[in-house]
Amino acid sequence: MSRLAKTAAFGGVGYLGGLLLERGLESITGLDFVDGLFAVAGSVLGAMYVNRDMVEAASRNMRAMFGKDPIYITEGEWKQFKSKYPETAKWLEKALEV
Amino acid sequence: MLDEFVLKALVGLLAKLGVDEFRKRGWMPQSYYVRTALLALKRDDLDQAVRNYNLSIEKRKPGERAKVAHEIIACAIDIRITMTEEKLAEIHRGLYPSVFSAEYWRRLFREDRRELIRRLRVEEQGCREALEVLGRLKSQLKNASDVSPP
Repeated sequence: MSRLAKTAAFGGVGYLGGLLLERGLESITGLDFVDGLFAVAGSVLGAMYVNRDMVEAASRNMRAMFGKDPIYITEGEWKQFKSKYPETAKWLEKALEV
Repeated sequence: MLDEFVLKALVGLLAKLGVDEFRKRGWMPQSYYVRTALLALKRDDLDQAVRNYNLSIEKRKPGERAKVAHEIIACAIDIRITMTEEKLAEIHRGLYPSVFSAEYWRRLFREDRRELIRRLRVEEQGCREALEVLGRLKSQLKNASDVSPP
């Protein structure tokens, strides 16, 4: 019983810690955390799981299109990219498991 | 000894020519051409990128990666067209400044006015030619994706 309570307590602390971290990052960077995920997934997972050349080419295009690194792309911009280049967006989402 | 060497060299040369011909006619695997196209794009060589993409679907139906590569190349061309158009607009602003702008009056009293205008006209011509080439590349890319083998 005490183990169960301990597990629940640590789980709760972990949850609160995660929540605080997310809110903190959002307030510092002013970015929606989900938006940043695209870029993190693009740079880290992309290199690991999918064809690197394609991810690189797509991210170069995004950088040129929006004038900023994919890490700073907002959801609106992502949707704009998706509507213009649906195959690439679909492929990226599938490949990066976003 | 010499005969053997010549024979080996001849076989090597023939093999090389055969592979080159194979490659030129689009018989290599689709992924080979897609990767070559993407590498060309990395070098900013749009012409080679389009050529290799076209070869990738010459003998085969475009697969998922080829479709994505098509969009990536199209996107790169679109970006280049936008950049060139912006540059052209900037040149136009330089060539035909508004009478109410300070630039117009500043230009009026410049000694090298003619030289400046001549330089801008050369740049304008360059941009127009670049736009023509980019438009042609884009239409070639479109044709390649539309006309695919059954």
